[in-house]
Amino acid sequence: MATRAVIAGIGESRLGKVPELTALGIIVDAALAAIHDAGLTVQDIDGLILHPAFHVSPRYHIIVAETLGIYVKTMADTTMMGGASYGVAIERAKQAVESGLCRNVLIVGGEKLATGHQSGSAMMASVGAHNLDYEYPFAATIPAYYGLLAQRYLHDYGAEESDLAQVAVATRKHAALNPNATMRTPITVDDVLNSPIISSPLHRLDCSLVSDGGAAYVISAAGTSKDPSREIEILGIGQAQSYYHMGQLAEGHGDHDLVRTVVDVAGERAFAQAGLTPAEIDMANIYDSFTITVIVQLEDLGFCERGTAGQFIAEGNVDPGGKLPMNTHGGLLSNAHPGACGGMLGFTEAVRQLRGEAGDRQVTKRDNALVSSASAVASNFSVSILGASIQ
Amino acid sequence: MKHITRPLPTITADNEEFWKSTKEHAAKLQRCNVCGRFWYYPGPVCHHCGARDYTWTALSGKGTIYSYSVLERAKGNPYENDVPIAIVLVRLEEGPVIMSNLFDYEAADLAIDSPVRMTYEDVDDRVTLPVFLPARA
Ligand SMILES: [Zn+2]
Repeated sequence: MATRAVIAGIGESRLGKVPELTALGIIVDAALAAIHDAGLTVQDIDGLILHPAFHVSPRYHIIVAETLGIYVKTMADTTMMGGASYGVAIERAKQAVESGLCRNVLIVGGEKLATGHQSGSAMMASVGAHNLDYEYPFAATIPAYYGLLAQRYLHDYGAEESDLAQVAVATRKHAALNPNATMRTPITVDDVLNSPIISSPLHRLDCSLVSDGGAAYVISAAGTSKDPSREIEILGIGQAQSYYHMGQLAEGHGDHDLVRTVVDVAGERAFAQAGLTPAEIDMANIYDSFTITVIVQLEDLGFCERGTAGQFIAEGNVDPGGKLPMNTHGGLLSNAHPGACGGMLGFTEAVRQLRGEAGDRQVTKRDNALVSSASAVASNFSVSILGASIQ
Repeated sequence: MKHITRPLPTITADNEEFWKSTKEHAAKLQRCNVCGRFWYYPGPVCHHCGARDYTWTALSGKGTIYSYSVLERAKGNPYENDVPIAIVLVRLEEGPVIMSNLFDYEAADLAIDSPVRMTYEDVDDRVTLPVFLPARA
């Protein structure tokens, strides 16, 4: 019988402000937690994928292996897809396990945006996370890029800033149920609109947090872990990348442009493999670097019509107990956002929910969960559909 | 125009003709001799059809705002004390969309589809950036 890859274990470091650990120390905490969760040892790991933190060696993945003591590997590589990296990495790991290249692949990330760098946004722009020659000289920051996206969205659909704010409000309702979330106090649309503008039309509460932390998962052949009833199925997975220079994104191609992203392409692949439609998804963790990031993905993935995501959220659809509970951990907006690896927290949360181990915030329908991750001004995406154990 | 402390671009063989044209306050972009289209940003091949046959061609300087965002907080960036800064995506009359800044505008000028015209900011001996002003009727 063909080998089927599953998520065998997950781990997280402490999230928020972690001044006592280096990024490498955070990575070790997350990695060991995931390996332990799977009931494996470091010696069982023969594949390693990570997205290197910034300002570090081009051999960072090897440094991580050396630190953990993983001598022989048949795959050790990096994914340089920013926030989408840790979705892309699952597809690579799945292929490696199912082809026989590896038995157990460790995917790990950890960063110190809160206590380790000058500032998350400034650092990301200045190291070339965006175009250094034709964009950065015009004083663009990451919130400004997303502000340009949001302003165009509001124009194209006649939407209001309050539609964007709905995302932050709904996300905070979930965070209130997560004892580990950084921001747990309920907020209103007015709170969002009254928070200072960072880059119009985005207010502070439209922007994700700046955190330290990391996470890890182990991808193994089904039946490898200590308790296969806790193994999580990978029902479908797809990626799509467009451009990152905003002018070229705006010029677009075919049905796609700045506001109509290529996440639909990634989603179509994931839905087709899973044999599911958006209406059949039980919960979704949608990458929420900014409120607008969620709005365009909900629409492009087919959860609601274009131009209606604000209304869809205002109607309670993504709230706790709604028909599509979204970002049940509190997302990057309210739980934690430790840089590119922040998207991993959408996966670790989906795994907890699908195992039925999510405590006070456990969703009732838990057959499947969609997890998306995104980066570079909503221009590259990874979409996964995970399923509860069939063991 | 207000002062902005700017990170500066790297001038290379791929873009030196562009930066030379802005330095002369007469911006040019590559126009493909095969498909006739312009592209931005400068590069060694036509972004649309793959041809390497192109002519550096003067721009009209006319365009319209595709989107805008006024940056009000930029902690940790070189321009953090220069906010607010109006960042615009301008669709040039010739087709490409370019990121730049809008200066000397009134609130009503900062709107999608509003006409703008290119002007120049001499940053230092090496770099002149194309920036924009409202093109009021
Ligand atoms: Zn051409």
